[in-house]
Amino acid sequence: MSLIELRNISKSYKGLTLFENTSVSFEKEKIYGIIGHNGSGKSVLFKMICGFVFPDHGGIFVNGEELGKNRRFPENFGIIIDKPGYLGDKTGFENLRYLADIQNKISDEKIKETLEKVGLHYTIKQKVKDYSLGMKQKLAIAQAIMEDQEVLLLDEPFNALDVDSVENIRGLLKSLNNEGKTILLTSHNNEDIEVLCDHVFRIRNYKLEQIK
Amino acid sequence: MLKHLISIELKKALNLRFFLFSLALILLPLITILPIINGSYVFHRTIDVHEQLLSSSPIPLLFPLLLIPLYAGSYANEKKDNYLQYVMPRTKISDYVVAKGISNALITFIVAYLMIYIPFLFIQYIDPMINYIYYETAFMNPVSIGTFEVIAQESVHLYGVVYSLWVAINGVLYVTIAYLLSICLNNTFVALSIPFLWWFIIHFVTSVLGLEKFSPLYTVFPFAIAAQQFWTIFIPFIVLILFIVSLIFYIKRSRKIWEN
Repeated sequence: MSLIELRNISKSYKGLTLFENTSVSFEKEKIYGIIGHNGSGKSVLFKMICGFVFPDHGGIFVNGEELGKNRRFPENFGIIIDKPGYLGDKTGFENLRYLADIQNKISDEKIKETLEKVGLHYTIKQKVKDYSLGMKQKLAIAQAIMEDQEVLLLDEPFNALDVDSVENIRGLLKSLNNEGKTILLTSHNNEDIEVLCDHVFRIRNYKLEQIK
Repeated sequence: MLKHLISIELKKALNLRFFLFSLALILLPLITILPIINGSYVFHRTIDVHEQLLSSSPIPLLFPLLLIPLYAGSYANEKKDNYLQYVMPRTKISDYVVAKGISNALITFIVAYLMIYIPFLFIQYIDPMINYIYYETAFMNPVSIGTFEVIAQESVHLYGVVYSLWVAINGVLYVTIAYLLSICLNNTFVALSIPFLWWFIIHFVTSVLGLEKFSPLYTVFPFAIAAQQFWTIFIPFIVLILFIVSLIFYIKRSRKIWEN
């Protein structure tokens, strides 16, 4: 059984047709790259997979269960969609702590460890509103992985990162995949896709075409 | 889950800025206004001082505006900064929004209650020990403090508690409207300003029409108006509740909280 399956989905978003009768499935423990030109629907695809928006036709199935029937959001997904999200007047650590408190599954130590992994020091007292774009991006990656989420949907995870950070995050994603995580990511940088992804899909003519 | 989410919200809200702002609301009238009115007005009773303290402060004029900054804008801020998107995979967003609304109401209730009750406590119980406030004892001719005088005649302490509760509950209604509007409207500034505009404009309109007894300002702070029948204060109160119910109904119908 596929981990994620899109069955005959069609979707128009804000007056723009993005997908027409598209089917695709994603298997466990692989890294998938999704590419496509600006506005082709990469972010909307991710929003559909994590239940933020529903397809106009067709269905999205996660672990065999259709989203929107008994379950609105799939469990254990780590996401970055569109842009990082944060509480501007809190520190990076506090941001992660408040998010983690919701499910209360991880300790302060785990949060600190995750911050170190993405290249942010937990001791930084700076408020997130004063972070650089790259630091906000790292914080977004940290919130997506800190609770050992099984599936990561990462929309442009390398945005605004410097060369060293890109290398670090690539290594981090590889190691998470080796631990059994499934990763779907988008990137405008072909190198990220080539280096990381087992399979690549391109959005063209309202369909997802497999090109690798 | 709701209780847990409320505790997270309270933790989020209770920061240094919140404490300083709340302390200012609770103590500033007492510290700054009391020395000015003491000796400038003839006071016969403790409740006269309390009434004059409040009506000489900016609290009646700016009431909703003073309470909305406490926490009513938190949903709008989290929506603007895309934070809600990262909450959604972790909990039901409807529970989260309800928890936020309850926290906003709870925080406002406590601060608004203390804003009225702490000055009352000082005037009624602490001042008699230090005799700071000057009372006219030779010629007793107290003036009614308005609609709530009837309670003060029963018990001054009951007046302090009931009146503080009344102001706090009204405060909760105004910040809840601001909070719900911040979910409905994209423009946060407009959403958070509407309760104040309502407070101000309806006061003006009722005054022009000679219906002051139904003015939002005079039903919460009924000092500058002759004592009215008690039921009159519930008219603007009921209007606010109907407004809140309509907003909740609209949010549920239009599924506003899903559209981030």
